[in-house]
Amino acid sequence: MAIISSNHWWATVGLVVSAALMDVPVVTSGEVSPAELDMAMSSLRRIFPDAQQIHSVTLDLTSTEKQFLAEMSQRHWHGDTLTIFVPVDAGSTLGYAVVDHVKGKDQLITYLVAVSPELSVKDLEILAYREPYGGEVGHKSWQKQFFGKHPGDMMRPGKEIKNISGATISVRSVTLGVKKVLSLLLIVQNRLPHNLKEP
Amino acid sequence: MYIGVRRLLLLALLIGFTTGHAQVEPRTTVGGYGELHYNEPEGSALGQLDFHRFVLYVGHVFNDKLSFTSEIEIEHTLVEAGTDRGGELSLEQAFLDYRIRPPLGIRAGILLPPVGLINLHHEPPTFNGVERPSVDHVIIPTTWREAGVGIYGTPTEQLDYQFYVLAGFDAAGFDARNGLRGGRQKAFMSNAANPSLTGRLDFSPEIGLQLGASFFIGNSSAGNDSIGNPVVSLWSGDARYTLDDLSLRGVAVVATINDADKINAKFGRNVADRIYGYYVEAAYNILSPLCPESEQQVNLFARYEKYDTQAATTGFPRLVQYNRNDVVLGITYKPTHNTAFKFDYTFFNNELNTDTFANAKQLNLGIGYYFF
Repeated sequence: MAIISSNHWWATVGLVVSAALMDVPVVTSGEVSPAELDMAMSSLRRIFPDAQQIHSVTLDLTSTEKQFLAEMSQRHWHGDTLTIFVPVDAGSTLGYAVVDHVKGKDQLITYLVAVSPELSVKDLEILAYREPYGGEVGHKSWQKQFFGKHPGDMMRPGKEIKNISGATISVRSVTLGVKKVLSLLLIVQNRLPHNLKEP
Repeated sequence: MYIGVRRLLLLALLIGFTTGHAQVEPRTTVGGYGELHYNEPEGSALGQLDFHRFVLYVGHVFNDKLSFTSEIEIEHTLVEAGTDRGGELSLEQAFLDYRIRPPLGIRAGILLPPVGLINLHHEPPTFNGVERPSVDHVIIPTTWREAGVGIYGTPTEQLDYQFYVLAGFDAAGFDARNGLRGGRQKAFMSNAANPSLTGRLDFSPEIGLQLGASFFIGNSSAGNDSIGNPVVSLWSGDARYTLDDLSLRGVAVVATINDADKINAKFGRNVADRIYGYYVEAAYNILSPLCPESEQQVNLFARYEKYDTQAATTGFPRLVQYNRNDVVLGITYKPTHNTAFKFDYTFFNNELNTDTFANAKQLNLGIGYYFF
């Protein structure tokens, strides 16, 4: 587990800038660009208003874990690490969040899934939507269907998760993406930082 | 001083945004959709098998803000040189998107006028019935494409908009039976004499309910001064509602053609002053109550369509054979979300109903798919 990783100098720059703007000291970053990171941070501040600090933790994923993920969610994780954002207050860890990309009809949709310490979905945010059509997955009214869902819960597009006519592909992509992130968090649950605090 | 530094940092961040970091790797994607149809009119011994549409889709992302979308379509499988055999090979869409921010983007190229439901979203598994609704063929001339430029965006959670300036119709192609359809220029050496305005608002007050309003307004003289001022004004409203396994959708459209009498005098046609159409459709996934675990779908559906390309005329009596209605009853079986096996039986009725223009019935079978 690497608590501090700065693979990209620009991410660090973005982070410093964001931190200076937001008065939230941020520890470090993962595999996201400055603009996305900035959006992720403002989303996290909204979702976890009590957070005094947002840590970033990068876990190495084993091939067994990635295989589990493929079995659980029928989706693959590209890359060997997983960066998890961990909002904390003075006393405890408030939850976890992961930023990921899924392919829509043609282009990548960048989204953030935030969960409680018990891994139930607290919120969802589309950080970047690049398709010509189907942007309705960015609507909170649609995203609210995921709130409270746990890793084992059924989340099938058109069943538990309502479809949006004209945005079927994006609905499908994001739904499977949330399922993937939740499955992955479940797989690495024992390695999640439980006692990070504001120093 | 502290404020000053903050402003400086904010400025740096804004510059960082506007100069555009390539946040996604440039990438090219390929996809496609298609539909194979079998149509058998009642009374004919054997029907016709047709690979109606085969579409390849190519998209490219240049960076986080700039992307390209295109569709190349082969209709009816072949275009044979030197003969009149075959269908159509066409560039159905080809446009660049510059997404400045969610509320505002710029789009330019060969665009689809965002009118009605089918013109924008026509992947076969996304609609019921082997053939597209008649209203989306005769009144809204899908697939309808023209070259142009415009803006689009999502200013609020519930609202999306698109407004474009596109090449207009060419009135030389209008007729009594198919209204505006023959007047599409298809971005083929389009006459740019009549830039037209088109747009659409999508409003989604709650999940499952989507309301749309769209229009297309423009002159169709194509530079021909002798036909007066043939302005086409087309207005449409649509609604989609999904509640669990029940889906409802409807479209209404009306278009007026100014100086239709002058078009008729010039080209020897019977173009109406006003044309209109509407349809309502209900579908129910009967597999869901029988087999709740299944993600497959068996949608029973019924659609009623009314369309009249002779609603109001000047200088000649209405040709009432073109006041039509269809009843479509059918089943769409979807083993996956992106494949569909379709069956329907369609009743074509018209106001005249004589031997020459008799009511008809037709059996349709189809296979549709898309992949991206």
